[in-house]
Amino acid sequence: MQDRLATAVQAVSSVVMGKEETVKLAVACMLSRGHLLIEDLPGMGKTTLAHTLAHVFDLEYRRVQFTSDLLPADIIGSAVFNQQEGGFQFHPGPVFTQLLLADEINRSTPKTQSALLEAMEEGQVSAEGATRQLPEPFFVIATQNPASQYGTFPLPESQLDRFLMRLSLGYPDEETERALLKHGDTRQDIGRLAVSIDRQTLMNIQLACDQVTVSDAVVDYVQRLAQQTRAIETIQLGLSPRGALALIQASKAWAYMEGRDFVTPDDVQVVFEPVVAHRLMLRSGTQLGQSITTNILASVDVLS
Amino acid sequence: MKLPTFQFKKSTVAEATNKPEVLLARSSKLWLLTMLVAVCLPQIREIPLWLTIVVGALLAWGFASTLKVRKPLARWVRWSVVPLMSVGVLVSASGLESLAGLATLLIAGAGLKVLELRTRRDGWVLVLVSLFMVAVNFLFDQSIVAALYGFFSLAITFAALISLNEVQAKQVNFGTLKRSATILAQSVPVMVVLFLVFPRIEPLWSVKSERAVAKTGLSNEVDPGSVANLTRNDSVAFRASFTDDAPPERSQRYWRAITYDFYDGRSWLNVGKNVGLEASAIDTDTYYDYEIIMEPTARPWLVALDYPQSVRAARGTLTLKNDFTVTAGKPILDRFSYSGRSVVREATQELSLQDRERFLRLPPYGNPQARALAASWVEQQLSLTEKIDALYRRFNQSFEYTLSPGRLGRNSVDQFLFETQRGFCEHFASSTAYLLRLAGHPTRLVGGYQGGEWNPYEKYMLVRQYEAHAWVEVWDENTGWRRLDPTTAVAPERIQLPFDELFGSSDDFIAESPLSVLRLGKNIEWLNEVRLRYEAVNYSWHRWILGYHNQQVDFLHDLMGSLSTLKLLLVIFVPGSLVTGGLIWWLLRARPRRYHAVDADVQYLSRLVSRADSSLAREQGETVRTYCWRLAKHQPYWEESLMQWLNNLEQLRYSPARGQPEGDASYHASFKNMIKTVKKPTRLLGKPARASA
Repeated sequence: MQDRLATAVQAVSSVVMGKEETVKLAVACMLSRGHLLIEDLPGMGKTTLAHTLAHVFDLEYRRVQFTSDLLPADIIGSAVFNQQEGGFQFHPGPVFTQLLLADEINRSTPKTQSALLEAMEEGQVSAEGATRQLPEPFFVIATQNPASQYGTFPLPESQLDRFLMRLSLGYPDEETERALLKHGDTRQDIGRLAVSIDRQTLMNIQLACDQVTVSDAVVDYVQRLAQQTRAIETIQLGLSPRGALALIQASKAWAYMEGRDFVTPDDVQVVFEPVVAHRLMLRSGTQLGQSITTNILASVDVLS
Repeated sequence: MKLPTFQFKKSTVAEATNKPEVLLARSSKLWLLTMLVAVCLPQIREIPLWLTIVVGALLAWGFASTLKVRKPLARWVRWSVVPLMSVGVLVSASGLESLAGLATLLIAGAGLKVLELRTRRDGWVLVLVSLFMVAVNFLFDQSIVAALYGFFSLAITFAALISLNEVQAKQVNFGTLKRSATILAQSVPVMVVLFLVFPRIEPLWSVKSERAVAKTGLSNEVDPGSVANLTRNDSVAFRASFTDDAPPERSQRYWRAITYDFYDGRSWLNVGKNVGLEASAIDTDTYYDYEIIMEPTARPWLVALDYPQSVRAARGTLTLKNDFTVTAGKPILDRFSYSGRSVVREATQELSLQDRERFLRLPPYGNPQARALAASWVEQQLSLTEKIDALYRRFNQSFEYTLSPGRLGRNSVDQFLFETQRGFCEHFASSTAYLLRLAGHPTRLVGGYQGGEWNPYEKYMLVRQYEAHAWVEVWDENTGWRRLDPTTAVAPERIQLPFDELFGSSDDFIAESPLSVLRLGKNIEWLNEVRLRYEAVNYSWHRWILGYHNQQVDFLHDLMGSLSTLKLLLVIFVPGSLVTGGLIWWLLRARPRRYHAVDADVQYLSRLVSRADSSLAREQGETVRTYCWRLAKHQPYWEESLMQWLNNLEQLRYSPARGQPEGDASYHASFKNMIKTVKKPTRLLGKPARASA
């Protein structure tokens, strides 16, 4: 099974070039049923990543461009009067899909944001007096543009918490960029990629990830890390128990991808930054930089 | 074994070692500000008024901005306060005496630090300054109240220190104060031990405060009004205790401090040299043994009950002069205790007078009326006693004993005797001495204290500055120097009643402290009792706590003979600091953490390889896998055995399926193998890096 996952990662990486680590983390995020927040500048391949992931994992894919006039109904769907049947009929919105790309989520109003985030949390949508189950699996990949904050509604901490990981792609290295320029747009390659893992297998893998064991030593380590985030005075909000749980969840998926049925502190360290960084708030109000998460990792003894 | 595919995260872990700057929490800031208020408060008396205002304003603003009532001070204000304050301190500290200057500097510095109270480091600096200031406070005031306040401000300081180290506390809570009080209470035994054994040897121990001596006291010059001035002051002159707890009669409590032999027409001065008195056997049983704790005076003389026969002090040598005054040879700059023995009588019983001229010398002119009066006595051939009687009668008839005698002009004796006829003791004494010198009798003025309040609770006598007195001694061929107190002629109650009872209603009496309990308490029985009890406690405090070093010196002296600095260093400081150092080391030693058996093996490996190359030691945040790969990269020869061990280790430590480490044979085998491999090149080649090259 790990081979097929590796193939899938390879496939995605052939489109999103030179970002193997990030792709692998994104896959781990999917394996642990988590939603993904990609924070990056425009043109870095956020959409391509989401699209390719959807294709490789054989998922139904929709994309919503968030704007300030987007309404909750535009995502969830609304009832429309059907003249032939003489009654209202619910037209499901784009949220009824397996992989939803919410582009520039911070451009929309908090009301719309929270409609989506509620769907993410509950896995269901309440509209027009009825509760409708969302398909299984259900992923949201949201993107955010950190540079232009003009006219945006930044997500509050409580809603950032809904995303398992926050990743950023960043600029490609020289070699990759050269290859990219030579090759031209890779997006048309997506369709030609073979489906590596079908929907059912993905769900099986998700179940298998749950079975990965976490020893007391690792639990202790995660707990010490969480403690450390609360002990540092520059951090206003330390890691919540939910955040610590998310850390374990992601570590499990990573361990599975590494071919192990148990988690080691290495797994925790790998997923630590993407899982934890966006959940902590610095005292000055800015979000946590990478240096502080590496600091935390460096200051907590792995051994006990 | 294959290399793990992703190591990008792991490499960054070891790089980040610099700690982020820790900011102060709001509660810590509030504690620090409170602490500053507490330690600065007692020094308000010492520092210039402008500094009080500026620092007060800075602190108030600090509070307001911490509580978010006000914004922090603007940058330009902060930048302008610093140079202004520096200039102010430079200007005013140069005018102050050294200790007050020190206090000014400290408080100004602490006040400025409030402006940049941001990080925890700033907080620590302030706590240190505050501890120093608590100590400095004791240089100014060593009373019980000051000691209690010292405890209080220490508690606040400790609370601030605790809050600096508290991470979670967002609010000010009094649990912090409780904890600091507990710590303080726990440190009391250490304080007591240090108090008892820490050697207080001059000059290391004593810090001279000139403030204490700037107060009023007898001076070596008496002019009309100078003694009356002392009655405005209720500070303590000295305390005396008697061996049998039996003080002399009130009318016999003449405490002698200084004699004045030279009259310049207005003032009496202490000019002539007095030599040491030859010890004479005491020919009577009625002597008093007493012990005196003298407040600092900045003068060399000490008080003694009339007439002293011998004096002794633990520190320094005292000299009993032939005018029956006692001198310590150097100015008394801190509280000084000594003991003496005196015979209470009216005259010195000396047989011969040396340097007779000295006690007869007068200015050739002035005071014609007084001269005429003295001339008429000589004409009538009156005896000494008759002259004194005549003068006393005169005093008794129309003179007034008052605290506010008014100013006297050029011919002060004439003016007093024939015009104003109002005076305090020095007026009477001065004119008596003047007249008797005119009449041909050797005379001198004596300055000292008359009276003293007996404290029945602690059995000691307290003499205050307002009991300062001046009297006359005249040479009588039969009895030697004979004490004359002309004040008794006009106001016999002066030596019979307590002074405060006599003058309690006068406006000038202790005018410097209008709300004194002494003034208020006279008519309220219980208040007076409270005052006496408080003074009794205060006396014990002075005697046993503040005066402890005298006893300690005696004790050390008995123990080790004469005290030399080298001996002290060898006997007390060196072993003391060794013991303290050992204790501190033992308390603060790094206790090895108990690790899991498998993790302990990793530590062992780390210690083993770091012996050859310290950069090979495991970083705290480095996982075993990362560490093994680092070692394998450093020494490829190790890789195989390392990976084998690592595999076993991860299985054992992180996979709950496997059993206990003790019974796991394959793990132990791989560990032994790995250690053997790692040791081999280390032993053979010394540097593993060279082996790989």
